[in-house]
Amino acid sequence: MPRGVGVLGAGPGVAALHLPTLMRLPDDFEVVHVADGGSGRAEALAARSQARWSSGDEEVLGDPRVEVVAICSPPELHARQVLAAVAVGKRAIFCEKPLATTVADAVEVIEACRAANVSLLVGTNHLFDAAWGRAKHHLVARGGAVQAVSVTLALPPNGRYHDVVTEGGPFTGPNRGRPDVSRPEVAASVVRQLITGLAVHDLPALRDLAPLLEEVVFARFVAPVGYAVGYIASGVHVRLTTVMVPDGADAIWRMVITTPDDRIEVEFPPAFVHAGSALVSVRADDGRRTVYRRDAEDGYVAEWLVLAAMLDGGEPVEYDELLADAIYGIEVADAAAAAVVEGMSA
Amino acid sequence: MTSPPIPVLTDLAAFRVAVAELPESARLAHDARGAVVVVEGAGEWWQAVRDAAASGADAVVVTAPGDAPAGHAAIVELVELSIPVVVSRPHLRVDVAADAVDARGSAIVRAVSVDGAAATDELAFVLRDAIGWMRLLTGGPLELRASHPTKRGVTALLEPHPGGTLGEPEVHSRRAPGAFSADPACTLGVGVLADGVTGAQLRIDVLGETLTEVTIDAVRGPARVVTAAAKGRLVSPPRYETAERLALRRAIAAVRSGEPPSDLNDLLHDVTLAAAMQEAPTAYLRQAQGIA
Repeated sequence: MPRGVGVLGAGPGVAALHLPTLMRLPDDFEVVHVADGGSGRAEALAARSQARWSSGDEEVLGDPRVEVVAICSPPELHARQVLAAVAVGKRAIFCEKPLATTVADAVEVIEACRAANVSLLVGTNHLFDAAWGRAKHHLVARGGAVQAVSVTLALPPNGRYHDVVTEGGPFTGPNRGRPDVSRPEVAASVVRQLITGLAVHDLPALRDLAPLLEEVVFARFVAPVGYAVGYIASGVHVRLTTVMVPDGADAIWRMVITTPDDRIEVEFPPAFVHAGSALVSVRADDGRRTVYRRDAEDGYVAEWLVLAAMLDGGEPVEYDELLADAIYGIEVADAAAAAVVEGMSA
Repeated sequence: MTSPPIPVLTDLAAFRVAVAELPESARLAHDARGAVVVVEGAGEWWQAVRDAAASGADAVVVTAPGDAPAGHAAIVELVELSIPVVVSRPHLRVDVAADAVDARGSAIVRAVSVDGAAATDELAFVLRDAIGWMRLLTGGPLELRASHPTKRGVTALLEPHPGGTLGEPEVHSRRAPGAFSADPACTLGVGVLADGVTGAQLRIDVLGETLTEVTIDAVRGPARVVTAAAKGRLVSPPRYETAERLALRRAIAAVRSGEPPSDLNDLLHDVTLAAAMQEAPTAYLRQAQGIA
């Protein structure tokens, strides 16, 4: 019997990601209610599944058919909406990343979910990608200390990927104008938002490899939109480089892990598409290159299946890990933002 | 009328093979006068270059130059020589770099990210060549903005240096307080390989509307250049010519044309920044204390 899903949010992540993904899991989930923040966009999205639609949080949270609340709203609303869902007795929550934008909110959210025994999953799809598990297994099996990790993103507009999984676009967020990034505090704010919105996909994996933040070596805004951040954590050299461009080549999203003996590359498919897992390749110390097979299942499908397993009682909710992931992401974002201000003021 | 072959003085087997592969352009010589002299980059190679010039060489090829004395004054002096000096660098071939630059056309460089791995005794060479790649791909001299060396490797940020010159690179930023940089960010991370593991690797990614991936891994074959744009990916043909033959051709061309290459200035730039990168960690605030 599929579980009813109520979606809070009607942006591109709902239209082109979660609704198409949930349609791939009809035995596990059924979208029964979609709510927007007042735009009216939820009506068309709900019609795809013959679901109800509304504006605001109240009707979704009050809908008895909603067993799973999917929080796909702007990041600053996530913590409040998780707490509201817990307060009305909902027992399953899928929350898009980030879980919260401050440490205090993250702690409050986790403690509320833990106390109510809520099945909570944060949508860090890369963490659920089978390829990441394969890369971790290789690291453990080889036993080599990680020397460095880099995550490199070059992202064209998402529209080209929306177009292969849905119709009715373009699906764009609200036009917030062009920020004045010549001002240090504005550049820092943009970098912080980008880290909590994009780098967050891989920060849980980075926390696995380099858990204790020691120092930010550099952080800066990169035109037209992006960031370059370098930090040291648990002795590991970490670099994050992201550029979002208005057009051009296909997206790249690559993590490279360097050990004393080998180099592991994890190449993720573009966002939104269902093209299987990431591709893992290993360049060994003797020059051999091993390429592992892809899995047919991508991280988006995998994360929803994990939530289903939680609801079936077959998968525990790791509240402490979720909290640690959230805090790590916030710490990196805050430290990078501070370094941006320092660098532009030096 | 074709020019006669240029004499080449070398004891190095690979260069003698290269001479044989240039039967119309080069011939083996018995002394330095009027010849292209090949200097192996070990020991006091800078002195060997000066000796070759003093002996009447028409040009010098230096292969894989090692460390120069502190301050790189020795390299600075070589720049003043009146003969062309070609520098052959193990992880930075000028023809491969030209392929990468040419394939990009006028595409804007938004960021450059370099991942690398090297044994401890190769680290300085890999760093200098990584910097060289950044310099060539961004089209000019760089300045070091931040770096952090540890026993596990080096992480650094460099940026194009407005008004800088190759011969005198800026080690620390002199940008005015509060200045915003729209320049590309050039970031680098090179890890140290375990003892006994050899075979340095470099992967250079240029990010923007046009992407460039350069993979340098001698164990796995020639360097690979891939350029990706909206219409697809272009893989540049591998450069199968040996580095030695390329170096000799460049030296011979310089002798015939009278146009000296910029190799020594390029080396000075890259070596200076690589050395600075490996010193104590720098950060914006520490640099600020030295800004005029």
